[in-house]
Amino acid sequence: MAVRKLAAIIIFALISLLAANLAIAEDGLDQPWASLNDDQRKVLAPLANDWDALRPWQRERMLEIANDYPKMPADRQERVQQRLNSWSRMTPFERENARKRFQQFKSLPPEKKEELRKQWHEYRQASPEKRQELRTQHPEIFGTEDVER
Amino acid sequence: MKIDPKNQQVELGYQVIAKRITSLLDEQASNIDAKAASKLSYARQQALANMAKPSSGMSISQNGVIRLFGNYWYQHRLLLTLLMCTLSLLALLARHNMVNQEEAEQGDAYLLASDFPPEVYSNEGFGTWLSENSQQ
Repeated sequence: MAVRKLAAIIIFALISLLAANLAIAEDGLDQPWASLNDDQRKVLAPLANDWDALRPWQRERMLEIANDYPKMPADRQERVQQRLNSWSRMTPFERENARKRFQQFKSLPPEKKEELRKQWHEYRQASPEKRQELRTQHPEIFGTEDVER
Repeated sequence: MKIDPKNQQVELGYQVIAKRITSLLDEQASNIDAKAASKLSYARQQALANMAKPSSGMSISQNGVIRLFGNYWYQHRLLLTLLMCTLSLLALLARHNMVNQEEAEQGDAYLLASDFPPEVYSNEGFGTWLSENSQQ
């Protein structure tokens, strides 16, 4: 009898655990703009007009960004806000590729990373004409359109 | 088969003793009050019910299979399976949470805050550049 009771308790605990995890997974999937808190709205302000049109999984990703945002220094926070709009307009395929390459970039040797940062620093400082020239010379680094922000 | 007269005598002796015990018990039983009789009757029923259960020791199931310790092992095997399921589920959830944690540290916010705009990372040519330079 005791064994049966214990088995019943374990089954109940398993079901509760699964239900709790499903509830956590569902949380944040369906959040209209009006339901976001002030901090989330402040971070995601560039997306305010498009928010309700975003797919639930896109909203979830954006909310993750809003959660990480306070952990960053001010200059990085500014970058996030500047880039949010274009990020939300990228296709899922583009975003996934970007994530892979971001990870790949992080695993580069330090001198390679520094070299690339230097090139980008020069690109940022350059005149529009010089930028165009750099894009023509190194489309693999600077792309074909002026995207610097 | 021939029966040994000595054994026959002993057997008869036992039967006489058994009869005497039975008659003594009968006499005493008539003196037992109703409350005690009720308790005894209940205890007897419980004992019979327990005897009917193949819960311990060796028993033979309906299809003739001998089961050592009755359902004890069967029930514990069930419990063990459930425990294994629970542990597997907990391990799975722990791993899931660890992966989420890793993702949180390398989430999209960090990509957006990085040194280069996201368009650079989505550029095919940049992917090739990365592959070439990571091999050097």
